Amino acid sequence: MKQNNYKKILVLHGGFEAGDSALSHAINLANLSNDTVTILHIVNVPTYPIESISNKIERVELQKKLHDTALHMKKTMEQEFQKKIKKYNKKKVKISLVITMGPTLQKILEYEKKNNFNLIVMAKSKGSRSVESRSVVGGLTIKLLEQLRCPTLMLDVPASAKFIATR
Amino acid sequence: MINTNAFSNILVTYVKPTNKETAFNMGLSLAKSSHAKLSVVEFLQTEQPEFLFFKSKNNKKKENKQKHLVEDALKKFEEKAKQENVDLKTSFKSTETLVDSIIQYVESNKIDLLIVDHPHMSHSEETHYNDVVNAIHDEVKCNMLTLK
Repeated sequence: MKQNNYKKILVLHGGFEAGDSALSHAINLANLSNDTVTILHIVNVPTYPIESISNKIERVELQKKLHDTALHMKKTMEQEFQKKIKKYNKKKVKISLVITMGPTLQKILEYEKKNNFNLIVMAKSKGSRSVESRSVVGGLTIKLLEQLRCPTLMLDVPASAKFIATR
Repeated sequence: MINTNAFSNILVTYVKPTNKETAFNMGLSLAKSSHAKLSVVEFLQTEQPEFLFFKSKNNKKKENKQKHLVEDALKKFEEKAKQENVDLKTSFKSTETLVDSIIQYVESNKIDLLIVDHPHMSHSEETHYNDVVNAIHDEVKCNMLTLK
């Protein structure tokens, strides 16, 4: 019988508890056949309608501040994820971490295209944020499902909006 | 937090009768490695009869042909599962609403992993099946593996 050849697993982690569940599941799956797991987290650079500020110096300063905020977020998330990876060190799974900055959908699709993954694991959490999302899966999830080129394991996770860096 | 142990009750189903082997093989392989129960359910979407309420001979012939094809495929799956010592349950159901039937089956049988193949075909067909898969994703209350 052809075994499940999921040698390279990508976990999309949004920084919420739901992502932790996806990670645990991916590691359990990888543990069955000594696969590798890559955690991908995208930090969104905060946006502001900069054109509305007429003073050039203020505009540049604000842009710098927004970029610094994203960099700080990236560092914090790196520390948080390293703690998580340490937890799973006992298992025979090789875990790597990739954190990038930019628009989420674009960055995920780019990363998936560059690296040939066999399986993508992510969590869908209904009811975590807005009223609309309590009944339907978010727009990003649907776009990813349609555009990703490899099999996707979507985990159904109870609502929880706790951000891991705030614990 | 959700249960992160291996899956215990796996369902393989199809939104379009293509790529059958891939989805079944994946389910079989996962069921074997995690000692899970495996079910394969084929939901055949009934077409609108030619004469609105009455099925013509052609309609019946077409339905019977499809039914035989599905039954043959399911028999093959059963043999394969037997060889691999996996507990397999197969069934075949006609339905008018595919998404609702899948969701109902998942809920009533306490499925914890649903495997669905995502067919890639012509643009118009792809849009239709994207909608079907998205509708299942929206409503189903279990983990879902979408194959491509």
